[in-house]
Amino acid sequence: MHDLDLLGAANPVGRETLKRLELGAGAAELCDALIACPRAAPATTAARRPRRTRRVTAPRTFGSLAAAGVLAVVLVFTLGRQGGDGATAWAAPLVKLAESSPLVLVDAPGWTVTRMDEQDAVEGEMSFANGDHRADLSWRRGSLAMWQDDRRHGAALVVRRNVLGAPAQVAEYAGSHGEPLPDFTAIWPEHGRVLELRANSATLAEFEALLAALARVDVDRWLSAMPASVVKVGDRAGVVEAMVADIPLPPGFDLAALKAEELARDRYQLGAEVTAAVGCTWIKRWDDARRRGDDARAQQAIAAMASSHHWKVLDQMQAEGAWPEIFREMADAMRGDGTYFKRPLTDAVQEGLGCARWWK
Amino acid sequence: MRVLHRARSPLDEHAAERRFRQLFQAESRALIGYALRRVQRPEDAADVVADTFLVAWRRIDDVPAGAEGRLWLFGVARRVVANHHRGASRGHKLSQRLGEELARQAPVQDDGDGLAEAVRGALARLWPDDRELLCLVSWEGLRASEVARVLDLPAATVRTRLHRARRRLRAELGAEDLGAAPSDHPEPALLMPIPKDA
Repeated sequence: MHDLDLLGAANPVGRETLKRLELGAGAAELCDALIACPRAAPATTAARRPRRTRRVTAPRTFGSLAAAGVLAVVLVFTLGRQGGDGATAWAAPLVKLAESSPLVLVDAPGWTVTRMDEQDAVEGEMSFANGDHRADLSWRRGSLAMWQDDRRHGAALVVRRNVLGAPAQVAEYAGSHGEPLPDFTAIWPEHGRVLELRANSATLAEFEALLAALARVDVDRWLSAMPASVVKVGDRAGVVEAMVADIPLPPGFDLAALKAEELARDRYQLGAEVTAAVGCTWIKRWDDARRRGDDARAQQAIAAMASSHHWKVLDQMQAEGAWPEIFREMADAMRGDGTYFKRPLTDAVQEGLGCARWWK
Repeated sequence: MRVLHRARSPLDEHAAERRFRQLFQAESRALIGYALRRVQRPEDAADVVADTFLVAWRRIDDVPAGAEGRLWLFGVARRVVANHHRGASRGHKLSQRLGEELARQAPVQDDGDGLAEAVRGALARLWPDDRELLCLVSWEGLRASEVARVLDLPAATVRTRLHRARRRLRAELGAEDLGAAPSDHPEPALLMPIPKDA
């Protein structure tokens, strides 16, 4: 059974149940009682600080890549030339990418980098794994006090430790009954940013060992540690060509631009980018055709997208994530009344496939 | 802490009261649903609602208008629930009657065959942030961009974490054949896909 259906089935209070709840005198009494409370009160620890408006921008180094953060910006790197001293000479954009991160790795046997996202020049996150052990390192703006205060809520344990020479707050999360969970976080400041390491360590001692294993490294070592699944920039054109080999492309589709980007991508991410570019273009043609009453053109787009059930690139991605499943569901929705679970398909694909980027 | 630059006029107070009543009228049911889904007892849910709206009343000028107001309230409620789980909250006389009404109606669903219990058990084994992400999308029916505003995260981060959370939930659920029919839950499309994280 679909995990989403199971999750919905586990909703303790479904929509219809909530609608049927009678909220009479109790709710009215509460409202009146609250209004009678004085408004000039000291700040409460439960008060949420005013929300910052976040504008997710593409990193400066990446030109046309992923406008507005619709697709997660993932690690990109290229093989560099070997310098005369044997060190790798990385391309300037990649050096800039690395230098915008804290240049921190987990320097302990078995730990590898599994993911790297950078939202902009200041904020980002990366994931590490060692068998079943997982850890996420994030760096972000904001006040240290605000983030530490946030993490103290719901914590079963809060202690102070040093991490990479900085004073850090370490917290262990509590479960819904107050029991400790294997979920630790450490927050500390660095150069005006707030860093956080979060891991599923079983004990505080295990988490402390992980913190002690954090190491600052140079650009070369950091870039070298990035996942080997990244498509090399030199290979991009060939890989994109192979991905679209069995995909019907919309008339006038600019494949050359897709191949020519000066980036290397994680293979799965590249597959999502390529299929989104093609799929969003077909969906736009389909929507335009329907509005004009051009049935032949609409049917062409529907047939093209229906073939996605046989696209090799999606078959290859299937084992690694949910993208292929949702892409094919949206393709199938083109055959119906133009809605995807009661939402206009053209709205749904903006969130689901990031089509806003391709519809400019 | 808010700094008051001048004393409030009766007009200010009247406007504040009107805004608050509108907010309460529009959002109390959704907030009650949020609270009931996250605490054990209906009386505790009423306390969460009271604490959250108390913050809203005291900071009514900060509450965004329209649909954003609900997201703001969820953000506050999340912290109130966390305080509750730490045992840091106290029962409210303000919400006593509401608590009694909710308890009388006993709205928590029981599917009778243990399916929901099994899934909630799997949810409980997730990281708290992952659990909250999944619940906000599946149970409160929020989009990723709305979840981002509740949790004060970039939308791209929410999408990545949501995808990871789904994968972890699937791992916790395992290959067990849980069967069962769906109940009245939000459309699965609200749990929008995002590329994998590695």
